[in-house]
Amino acid sequence: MTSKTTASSLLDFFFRPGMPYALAAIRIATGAMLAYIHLIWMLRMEAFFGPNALLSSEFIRGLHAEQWKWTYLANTESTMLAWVHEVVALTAGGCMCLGLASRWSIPIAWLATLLTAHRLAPFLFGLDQIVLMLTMYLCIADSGSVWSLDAHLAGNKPPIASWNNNLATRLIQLHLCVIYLFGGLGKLRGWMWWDGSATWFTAASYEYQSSSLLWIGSVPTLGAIATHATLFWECSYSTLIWNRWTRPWMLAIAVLVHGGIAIFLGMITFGVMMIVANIAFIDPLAVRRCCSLGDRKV
Amino acid sequence: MKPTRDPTELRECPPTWKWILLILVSLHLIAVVAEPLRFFSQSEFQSSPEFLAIRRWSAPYVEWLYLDHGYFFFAPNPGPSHLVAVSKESVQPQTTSQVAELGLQLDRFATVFPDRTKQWPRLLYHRYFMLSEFYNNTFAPDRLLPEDMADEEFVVRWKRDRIRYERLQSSLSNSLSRSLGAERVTLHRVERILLTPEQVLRQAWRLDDPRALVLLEESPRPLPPLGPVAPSVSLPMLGPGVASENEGIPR
Repeated sequence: MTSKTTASSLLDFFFRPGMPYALAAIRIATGAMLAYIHLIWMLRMEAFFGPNALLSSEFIRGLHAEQWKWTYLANTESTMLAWVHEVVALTAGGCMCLGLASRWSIPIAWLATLLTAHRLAPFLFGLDQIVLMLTMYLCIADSGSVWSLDAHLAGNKPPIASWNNNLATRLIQLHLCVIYLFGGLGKLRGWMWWDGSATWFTAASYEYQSSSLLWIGSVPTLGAIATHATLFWECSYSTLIWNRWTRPWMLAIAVLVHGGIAIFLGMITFGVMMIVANIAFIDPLAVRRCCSLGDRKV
Repeated sequence: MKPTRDPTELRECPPTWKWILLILVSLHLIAVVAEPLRFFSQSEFQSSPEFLAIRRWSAPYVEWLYLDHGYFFFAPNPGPSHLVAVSKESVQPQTTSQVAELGLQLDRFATVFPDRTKQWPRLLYHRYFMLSEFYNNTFAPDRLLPEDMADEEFVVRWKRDRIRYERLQSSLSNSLSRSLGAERVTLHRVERILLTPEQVLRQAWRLDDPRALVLLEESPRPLPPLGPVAPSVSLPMLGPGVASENEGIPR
């Protein structure tokens, strides 16, 4: 391949116009999850923000003193201001889900959630990483042009295949590959992922358990197969997901692994969002066909 | 993936913009891998200089956009969980012999987090779970052993970590004493060690068995005389009351 064709393939990979259906599905789920995340913060506002917070503003400022994690929420003790911030963030997440004023609601939801994340960093986990990642990339796409109130108000015109939809999709795909690759490489360092006991020790964690998976201890071979399948799937995801023959298998295992995390390890929000992120690897027109089938059945 | 063509209008990116955007996208993708590369390439000896340089150079972007993750999910191994038990007195509510006999009784404390009966929905519970893991990760002992004092760099790092831990303790204590209506509270770090299939399936230990709880100490213990090397991961066969090294934090 000449350098000219390589450059042209690279430009085509990132900037070929793409339809917004897969991104719209991701937008709906991510917006709903953002709204839910902020609703949960609001359940215990006094514990998370203000003068009686578990982690005082002073502590957070000290924690981030040598980091670029500025948020105005770490410079105020006002619970009222935090309430306003969270209501704005929840509303923006709701609008993002409904596709209302998407051009504005998605960036506002992302920025508000990011500022909250810097204020409450020690409370965060994988869910926040994946939701902020998806919202950041949705900011550059036209995901509100279908399956949205914006589209409805504009008369449901056919969407435009646009370069920024494809760019957002590619960035989500590549970022997801990085997450899985390093997730897998991290596990390669652990002996439990090699001797096949990791599934048991994950399932037997009282703090994580939501549904019992302890029966797997009486079938150790099955536990070991699940452990090794997770390890090899995670390590190979970033290469095999790009091949059209292996992609369906990679996506099917993603649903099984993350579905298992959601059902058995009590992280339903994280499990769901990881499955949602994998929609980026489904052809947008296939996503539209799936949703059309759903419409017809209804 | 195959090109997605639909009989609709196409919006192309202007050719000049494509090259500018490609450079920006490349820089962004370097920032995305900057933290995992730094995180994976550090050892007790050094951090890989080129990855450290990339991470430092991209710090404002990586940190503010919340891209500074190592993606260490349940890695390198699923580890024990950590809880924070809060007592209204400065002493723990059980004697050492009671703990040895009955295990650690969490209901004797004023409050414990995470607690799925008090923190609901599940996402709220998980927020408290992450806080208790953070508290344990931030821990720095209240003093150093004489053999550790010889390493100046280690002492400087310990002092810095200890200050951070004390500030965290103070912040949590202030908030919890107000919410519990106590003059002052004491925080205890508790570890729930991993149970083997043998213990759960044959010896019928429940996952919340108090014998699996270990009250972690605030002060370091002098190393025992040379002998057999202890395992680095706390497994329940060590029995209650035995603290251990904390491995991979599942976040």
